[in-house]
Amino acid sequence: MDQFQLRSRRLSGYLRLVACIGFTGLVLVAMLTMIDGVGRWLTLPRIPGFNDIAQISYAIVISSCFPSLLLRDQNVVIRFLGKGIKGRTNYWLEAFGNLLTLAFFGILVWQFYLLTIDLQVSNRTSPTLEFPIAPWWWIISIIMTITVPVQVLVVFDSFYSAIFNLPTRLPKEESEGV
Amino acid sequence: MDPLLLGALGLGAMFILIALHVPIGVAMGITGVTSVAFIIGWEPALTLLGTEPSAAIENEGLAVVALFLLMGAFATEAGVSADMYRLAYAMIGHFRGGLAMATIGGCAGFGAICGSSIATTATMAKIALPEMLQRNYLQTLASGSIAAGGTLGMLVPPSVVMIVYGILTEESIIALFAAAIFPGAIATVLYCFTIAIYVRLKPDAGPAGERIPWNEKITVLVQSWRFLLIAIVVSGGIYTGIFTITEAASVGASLAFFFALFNGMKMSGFLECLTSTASNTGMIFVIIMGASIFSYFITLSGLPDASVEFIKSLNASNFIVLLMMMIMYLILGSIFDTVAAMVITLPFVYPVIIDMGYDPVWWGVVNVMIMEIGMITPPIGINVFVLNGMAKDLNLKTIYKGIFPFFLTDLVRLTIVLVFPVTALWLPKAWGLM
Repeated sequence: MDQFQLRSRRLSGYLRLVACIGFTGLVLVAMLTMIDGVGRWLTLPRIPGFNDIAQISYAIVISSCFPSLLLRDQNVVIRFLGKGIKGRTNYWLEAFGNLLTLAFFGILVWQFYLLTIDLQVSNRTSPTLEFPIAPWWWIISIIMTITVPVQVLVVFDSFYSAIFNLPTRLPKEESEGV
Repeated sequence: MDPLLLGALGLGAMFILIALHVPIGVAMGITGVTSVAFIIGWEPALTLLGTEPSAAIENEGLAVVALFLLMGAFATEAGVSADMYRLAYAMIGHFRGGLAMATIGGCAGFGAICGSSIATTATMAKIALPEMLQRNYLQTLASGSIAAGGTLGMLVPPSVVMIVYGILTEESIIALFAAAIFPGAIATVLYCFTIAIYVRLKPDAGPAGERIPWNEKITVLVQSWRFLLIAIVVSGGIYTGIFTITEAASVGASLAFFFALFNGMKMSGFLECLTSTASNTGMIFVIIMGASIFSYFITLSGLPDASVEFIKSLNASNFIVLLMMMIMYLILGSIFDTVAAMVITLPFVYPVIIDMGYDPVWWGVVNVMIMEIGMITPPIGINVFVLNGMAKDLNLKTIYKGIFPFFLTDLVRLTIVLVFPVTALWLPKAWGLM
């Protein structure tokens, strides 16, 4: 295993950690939602402004899964053509797909920052608790920013594969799907 | 450029990008943005890549998808799926083919706490396949019952695909869940019936297990309390209106988490649950983000209205139109991921269905049923590959051979729901959900 593989594995571990931290948040939000829902049913006091907290939490949780998703190639890709062609052309197709994915996430992150700046300037607050939303969207934007260098790495690796006709050196793993 | 032509070109470009190994969600997003730019300019088009994805990730309705996936992951870790299989086996395992029938029962039960076909297939392959092969079941029957039974995970509520359908079409998710109950039950019964015929024609295909005494059956039933509790609280909570869907999914995920914890879940198991939930959630959300941008473009292009006009101009009967759509979905379902197949086609299929006067809730159920069949149809049939991946000894030919009787059964039950929409619509109407 060379340095690149070692480092990319370590990076994969860190990105999984980001996803795990985010989804531990989902477990906590689930428990709070359960307490809030049962409380409503039993006509007990509710958690004040819980919907405000939940909504922003969902956004943070969901954003945390994208960096790991990209590095581990868990997007849904139809590889019909590549399977028929095989060899170097297949690697070039992968490189093309990864390049467009980089463009997609690059523009998405840029637009997220514009959106966050807009929220900051207009001083938007949550409906019930009236806490400022912008700081939370800064967190989301920063998490989403991680996707860009990660995807740059994926693109670099796939072009390397295509040029030298070698399999990927990244720790890939296809997702299960539903 | 004529927006309609642009719509058709955009659709074609999206399929080309998908064929060129671009992830489905990305292909939809990029085609959508580029095409919208041609219609209304680059600046508003690019903002779509901010507004649509941000709306998706903070959408409480879509967060339910993550919560149900989390519930399924913890339930598997807790061994709840094994409980259900044991329960089904205790009740019907003594019949010829009983283990295969128990597998179908287990799949339906796990579908009720999981919402994913692939997770159901993977889980049942781990639990039921070794049992069946150990008891000299034919590989064809064993693999066919798991691959076909696994598709029930997508139909039996709560279903992740139905949640996505409900959100994209703005239909009531609870009504969709209620509408899927009877078709799910019909599927379960018909699958068991298929197995009964199979073992009657080939008596050595599924030898009968030993009959379990009633007192032991009751013990197994009591031991399955975790599954029963989750299913009752989640489904009961939703249908009685005690919980919203988000609350029910949260309660289910929390209960499954505690069960896994008390079942001795280690940190590695906990992290594995989170990782698998995160990867499946991310995969679905990339598709949804791309789909919402693509839908915006399709609506802007006027393609939905054009497709309605086109169908009208054919002067074909509703039956023929439905048949064409079903063939299309069967092909898409056998090649694409189910969520992707649904979201790609919804922008122009949904208006046609509404225009033909069909009930959108009924169509939601039918749509899921067709894609279920696609999941076990060659050339891809994702469930077949999941099973093959988990049991390398089973070759694809054996699995497809085993699936064939269930495929025929699927066509029968699809016909039942098509001809008698009441099978899907009676329950939501009776419960005042529509």
